Parts: sequence; C-alpha cells; structure tokens
Amino acid sequence: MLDLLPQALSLIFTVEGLLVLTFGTMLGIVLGALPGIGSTVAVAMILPFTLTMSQAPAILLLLAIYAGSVYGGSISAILINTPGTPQSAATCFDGYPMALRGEAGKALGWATMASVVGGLASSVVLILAAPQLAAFALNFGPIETFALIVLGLTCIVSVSEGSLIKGLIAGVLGLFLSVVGGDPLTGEPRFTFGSFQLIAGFDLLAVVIGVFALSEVLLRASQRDEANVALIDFRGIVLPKLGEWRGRIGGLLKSVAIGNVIGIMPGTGAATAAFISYAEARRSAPTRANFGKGEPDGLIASESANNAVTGGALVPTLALGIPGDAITAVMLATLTLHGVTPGIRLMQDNPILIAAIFTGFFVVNLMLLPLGMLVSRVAAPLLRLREAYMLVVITLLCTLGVFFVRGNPFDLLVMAAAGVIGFVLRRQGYPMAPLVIGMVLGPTLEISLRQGLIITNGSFVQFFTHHPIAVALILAAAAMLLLPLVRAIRARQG
Amino acid sequence: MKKLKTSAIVAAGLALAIGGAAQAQDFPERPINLVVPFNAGGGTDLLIRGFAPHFAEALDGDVFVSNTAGGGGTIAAGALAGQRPDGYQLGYFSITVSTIQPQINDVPYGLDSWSPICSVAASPTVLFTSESSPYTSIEEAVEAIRAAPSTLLYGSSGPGAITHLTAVAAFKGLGVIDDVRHLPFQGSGPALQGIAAGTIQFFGDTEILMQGGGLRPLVVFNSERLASMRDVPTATEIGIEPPLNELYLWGGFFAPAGTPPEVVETLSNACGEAIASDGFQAFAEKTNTVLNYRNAADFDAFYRAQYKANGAIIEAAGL
Amino acid sequence: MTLSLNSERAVVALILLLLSIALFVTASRFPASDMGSAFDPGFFPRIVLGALIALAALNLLTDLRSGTGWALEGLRSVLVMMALLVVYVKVMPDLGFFAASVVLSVAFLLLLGVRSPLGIAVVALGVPGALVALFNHILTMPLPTSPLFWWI
Repeated sequence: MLDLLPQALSLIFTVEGLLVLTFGTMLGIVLGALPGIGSTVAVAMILPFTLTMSQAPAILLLLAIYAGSVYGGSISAILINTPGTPQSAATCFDGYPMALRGEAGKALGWATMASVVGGLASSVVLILAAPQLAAFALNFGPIETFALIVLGLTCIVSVSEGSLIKGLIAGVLGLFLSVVGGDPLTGEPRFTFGSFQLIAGFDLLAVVIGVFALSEVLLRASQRDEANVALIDFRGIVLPKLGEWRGRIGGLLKSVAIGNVIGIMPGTGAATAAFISYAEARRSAPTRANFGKGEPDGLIASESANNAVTGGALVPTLALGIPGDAITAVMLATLTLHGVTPGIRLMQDNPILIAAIFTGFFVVNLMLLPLGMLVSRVAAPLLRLREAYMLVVITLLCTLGVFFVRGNPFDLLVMAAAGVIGFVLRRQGYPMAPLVIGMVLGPTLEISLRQGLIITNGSFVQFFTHHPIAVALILAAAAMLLLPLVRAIRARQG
Repeated sequence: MKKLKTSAIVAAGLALAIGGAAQAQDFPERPINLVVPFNAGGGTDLLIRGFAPHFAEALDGDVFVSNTAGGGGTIAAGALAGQRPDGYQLGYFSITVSTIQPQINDVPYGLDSWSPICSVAASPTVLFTSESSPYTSIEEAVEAIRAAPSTLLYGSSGPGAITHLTAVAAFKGLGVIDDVRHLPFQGSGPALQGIAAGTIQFFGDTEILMQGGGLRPLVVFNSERLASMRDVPTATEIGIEPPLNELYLWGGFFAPAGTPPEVVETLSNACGEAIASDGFQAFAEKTNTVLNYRNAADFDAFYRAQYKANGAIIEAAGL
Repeated sequence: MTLSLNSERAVVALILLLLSIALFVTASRFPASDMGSAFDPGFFPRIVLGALIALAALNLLTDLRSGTGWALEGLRSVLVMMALLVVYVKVMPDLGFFAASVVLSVAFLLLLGVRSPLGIAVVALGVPGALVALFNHILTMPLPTSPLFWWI
C-alpha cells in the first residue's frame, strides 16, 4: 500500500481535491453538530452533488463529510447535552459537566484532540493492515458478537451515578425499550398494544434526545434561580497544553485500539465502541473517581474511540464489499455510481483509488483541528444567549432533529414522552446514561443471542465450548465487573 | 433585521398563494415530494435521488426527496395512505411494502389505498450460495439438504423481506422447506458477512449482488435465463411450479387513492419521460438497475395481480 | 427503620415495579413459536423483564426506607411546559413547524420569566424563521409546512 503513496497523493493534492476536502469537512462538522442530522443524513444529502464529480473527489467529499460529522456530534453533546448522533452519547457524560463548570472551550479542546488522534490512528491502521483485518472480522459470528455486546453492557455499572440499583434499572429499561416493535426474527408485534406506529419500535435518537436534552430543559426550568446568566460560557476552543497530557496518553491509545477493533465488526458501530472504551477508562484510569463529573479522561475515551471507528468501519466495506453501517453503504453506492465495483476484488482491481481513499482519510482527520476551531469560533456568540433563550432554542433544535431522523411525526411524541419521563426519573436519581446504553446495545444483544441459539440448536453451553473468542470476551466482561469489587474490598481491608 | 426578512417572506408568499388557485391544468404548481420509505443512503434512496432531477425536468416543476423510515417501509406507506390525494406526495414502494406487508401485518393500508402512478424498476431474484461452498448446482444443494435435514441454514435480511421470500420460493418449490432452517439478520450487510463466514449456506437477492464477488448463483426466478449468468437454470427449468417460479423485486410510485385522473396521467407520463431520458438511463446502467416502466393503467393491473399471486408465497413462508 | 410510601421517590419506585410486572404478564402471553424457544417472540423480553422485576423490587425496598418526602416547589410552570410540549409535537406536523414553534417559543419564554418584548419577538420569530429558511429553502429538506402556505 505504501508504494502507491505518490500516486495517491497526486490524486488528492489537486485544486478540486483540496477544495472538496475542506468544504466537506466543514459542512460535516456543522451538520454533525445539529442534533438529529447526523452522519447518515449528512452523507445522503451530499450524495446527489457527487454524481457530477469525478471518482476520487466524489469519494473524498463523502469521507470528509463522514469524519467531520462524527466529530461535529461532540460539539452539541458538550455544549447543550444533546448528542448530535448516538455515538456522541458517551461524550455527554463528562463533556457537559465540564461545560457547566465554565470549561466548555477546554472540553471541546480535549474532544477535538482526541478525535483527531483517534481518526489519524485509524487511518494508519487502515493503510497498513486493511486486508488482514477484514479476514479477522470474518471470525465474528453471532456468538462472538453476543459476547462483545455483553462486554459492552458491563459499562452500565461504571456509568451508574449514585445508586447502582437505579443505574441497573435504567439499563434494563433501555434493553426493554429496544424490544418494543416487530420481532426481528419473526415479525410478530411486541408490546405495541394495537398501535401500528409502535411496530417500527422506539427510535433511538428520539429517546436519547428526550431523556438527555428535553429533560434537561425541564429540570433547568424547575430550578430557575439564575435566569439571566448564560447557560454556558463558551468563547471558542481551548486546546490542552502539552503538560496536561501527562498520564493520559496510555488511556488514549487504549481507546483508539478499542475503536479500531470494534469498527471492523459489521453491525456493532461507533456508539458501542464509545461506551466500551468509556467503561474501560473508568475502570482503569487513575482519575476514575472524577468520571461523570467532568473528567477530561472520560471525554478522551469516548471521542477517540468513536472517531477511530470511522477508519475501522471502512475495512470490511472496502476489503470485502460488506458495508458495516448505513454510511459505508452510501459510500459503496457512490463507488458503484462511478464505475467501481465494490467487493472482494476492489482492492486488487483499484489499488491507486483505494490508496487515495486511505490517504485522503488521513488528511481529513488532520484538517479536523483547524476547521473545528474555525467553526466553533463562528458559532460561539450564538451559544452565549441567556439561559431562557437557550432553553427555547434547544427545544426547537431537538424537535427538528428528531423529525429529520425518520421523518415520522410519531417520533416527536416519543421524544416529548421521553423528556417528561426522563425528568421524573432524573429527579429521583436514576441516571439516564445506562438507559441509552441498554437501548443502543439491546437489538444486537437480542438478535445475536437468538441467532446463536438457532445455530447451536438451542445449546447455550456451545457458546463457550466452541468459540474461544467469545470466551475471551466474556472473561473480559467478568473482569470488568469483578475488578472494581476486588479493589474496593482490598481498600477496606488495607 | 430578522423581523424585516420574515415579514418580507410572508408578503411574497401571500402573493404567491393567492395567485395560484388549485387547477389541474396548472399541475404542478408547487414542489412534488417523493417519499422514500427507508433511511437515507440505502439502495432505494439512491435510486430515487437519481430519478428526482429527471422527473423534475419532465414535469417542468420542482421535486424533492424525503425519507420516512421504519417498519420495513410500512410507516411511510401508512402515513401516505391518509394524505390528501392531490398528487403532491408520491411514495416509492417495493413489492414487499405494497403487496406483502399489508397481507402479513396489521398496517393501516391495503390493496385499495392507492392510485398507482408508474413502475420504475424490476429485477429478477436469484438464490446464491458461497463461492467456497461444495454445491455447484441447485441439485447438489437439494441433495445435501435431504442428506442432513435441519442442519443447513438460509439467511435473510429480515422476516418477510424479498431475501426471505426468494429462499422460501426456492425451497418450498423444491419440496425441502422443512429441512432447511431460516436465520434472519438485521439487514443485508450482516447476512452477507454470514455467508462469507459460513454461518449460513444460502441467501437470495437480486443479481446485483453478484458483482461483489464471492457468491455462486444456483437458480434464477425469471421467465428466461439471465444474460449475465447463462448457465444458471431458471426456477421453471428445475421444476418449480407457478406462482413460485418467478419473483421480481419491483418498485414504483404510488399516490393516495382518489388522486384526480388527469393528475395521475400527468405524473405517469412524466415518469415515463424521466425513465426514458438519457441521463436516467445512464444512471441505471451504472447502478445495474433493471428499469421497467409501466404506465398508470398497466401498473395498476400488474400491482393487483401481484397482490393476489404473492399470497401463495406468504403462506409458504409461514408468515 | 420505618417504611414509608409517602415520598415522591417511593411512589416512583412503586410505579416502576407495577409497570414491570404488567409488562412481564403481557410478554408471557406472546404466541410461542413452533421452531424452538429462540424463535419465541417472548424469549428475550421475558429475560429482560424478569431482571427488571427483581431490580425494581429491591429498589422499592431501598426507597421505602430512604424516601425524602416531596419537593414540589417550582413545578407548576414545568407541568405547564410539559403539557405545551406534548400539544406542540402533536399539532406541529399539521400546523407547520414555523407557526407551532412561534407559539411554543412565546409561551416557553413567558413561563421562563422573560418579559422583554424585543427579546421574545426576536427569538420566537427569528429562530423558527431561520430554521425554516435554512431547511425548507436552502437545503430542500422540508420541515412540516402549514396547510395555508406550502413554503412556510
């Protein structure tokens, strides 16, 4: 792959190439920052414009939008507690508390640096080892996926603020919300109570925006004493100083690795990666006691992992022709439109184009830094509105975002209900993060468990006797749960 | 400043609204909305976004695409079925959304909810196995299924999807439906990974899948052999009886029932013109879309015939 | 140690427990599949809801002991906001994003204690107006429009 670099660079460093990279990254950041628009809608919106472009710029434009929008999602997560995309949900956990503390600029600085590092590292992995990684991804059947999701669920424990029981209840409630609707295996309606609309289930983003952002609006309205001050004080991104990185590099690298590995598994996705990475950081970071209260390490874990996924997700897409998610599916479609046949022969047949894609992806991630700073400098004055105005703006943006996710008016009702219920539960100390984790992981957990049981003819024991990767993942999950316990007991004795 | 701008827009709009009273001969007097019943970015979405500009040109008006996703397309169809039948909202529905789902699920629309406008595409379906599998023909596959009942699996992208129905048509038609098992996935991507990894042995979809490589076609559900795979038999040749012997993934535009005939005609003609346009033909060739235009009257007859014929396959699938 | 149901916390916990039991009963009535338990629509929900019942029971016990009474100050305007929110999302698809949002914004701002007419006018008209202009007309991804005018 490296020997093709000169040719790849000559495809990228043209006037058109650089123009689409800059414009695409910037547009991606803006669209990603609007709640609900997210990567998929952003990429699909821009698709018609790529039809008239030539091969390389068209793909580069989509890559720029993709990476930009994943990063952009963190902006609204930090500044208004509204994840622009589900993969930014974990960014809210520490980003928003930092912003409330008056460190919004710093929080975005950490998020930006983590995103850039995560994205750059994943593009290096992509350049060096895409074919090998794709072969590895094929070892992941339903049973291994099940084990991976179980590992992901352990982070419910680590994000349960205050009461563990209430955290677990929220998590299990999230799992329950994910089963409402048509059964994924038989199509049988479940818990729809005769409502046709519910057959499609609850939309994830409608619930997430409801329980995070709308309930926050209601909570703030109920405890109004400083009505005239700005909700947050944001004056642009403040990058972390070199010295502040001390002790955080190890965690960053671990998160990047987690993001890359999870990215290459089709059907798991960036939200799962961000959650697992956050949980792992919370288990192992020296600063773990501050997690959830605005700890930069928590931000780093989530943001570096979800950006590392973007590169990982391209591995099965380009090496096998199997799209990992909706966004990579759009990219495959674009390749087809430009006369490139996706599939297992893609890399052999079009080595220079693929090299250009990988290198272009690297360049995009490099550009996140200056363009991210530019976009947030322009947006900063808008965000310094006084709180009452801001709450109204947030409510309107939430409505708009949820409407655009599926264009389904019923989702708006779900969002409002989630906001009210989230308000009631949060008042009583039920954390909402586990609910979102349960809802994100629920569908994959259910379908992989049931698929596994179909494959083994109903024998759960075979999950462990025939699948070494699954066993390793389950052991890791057990360690996640038990290690903090052991440590607590030791601390008590010592 | 903002206030000023808003009032200017309001004033301009008032003038427009009063100036254009609803008259069929003026159709269309405002943008037409093409509803894609899936999320942005899928194959259907891509097709309609490619179609929209040519349709707009043929209509001499504005056309925009919107997505309403969920419930395998039924949420969009259910919402559209209750809309004003003025021809400004058209849904692009496939065989499954328009003829399968209303027969297996409790959805708020049915056979008579629509004024069909035109059909756009129709691709025959094909049953595949993995290129690395030991079965080089459908006969060998059937033999292996009989030799070890209930061990081989066919995948699908979900219950009731065209991928599910293709496999059901094949195995029911060959009399071995009870000896193979169904493993539904969440969409085509994971199912394709399943066949590459050997989790499932069979998967049915349109011939476009062939391009990706790694797959071996076993049987074609078309009236004749396909040019791209001359040595693959049709379902009729291997003894699959009607109505299971032909299965096409088709799709077309539908308006809510009661749309005025002259509006239907305008739309249907524009649809035909758009499909015949050089630009869309080139687009279809690049995306390997098999175009199949039927005007409103033909499409209406075809749709009603399909609705009845697909009852048999639904019964075979046990849905 | 006294047990008391007379607190907001305990009432919420009780509702959660009752809800999970009701849902479990619903799930146990799902039709069984003849293709093995993994094909049962109720297979996974019953596992999840079983866990939920156990957790909710434990939670209720804790909260009966540690209830902190009721803290209902400042809730009146929030309840009105909730009701407005539900009405808003219900009528917005029919009334159009702009009209519904202007009304909601004015009501929210008044409830939140804003009294400046200029501030209310600028935010309540400007924000929805800018969003409609951006999405409906620049990006051509239309928000719901009013029955009177297709362009707003």
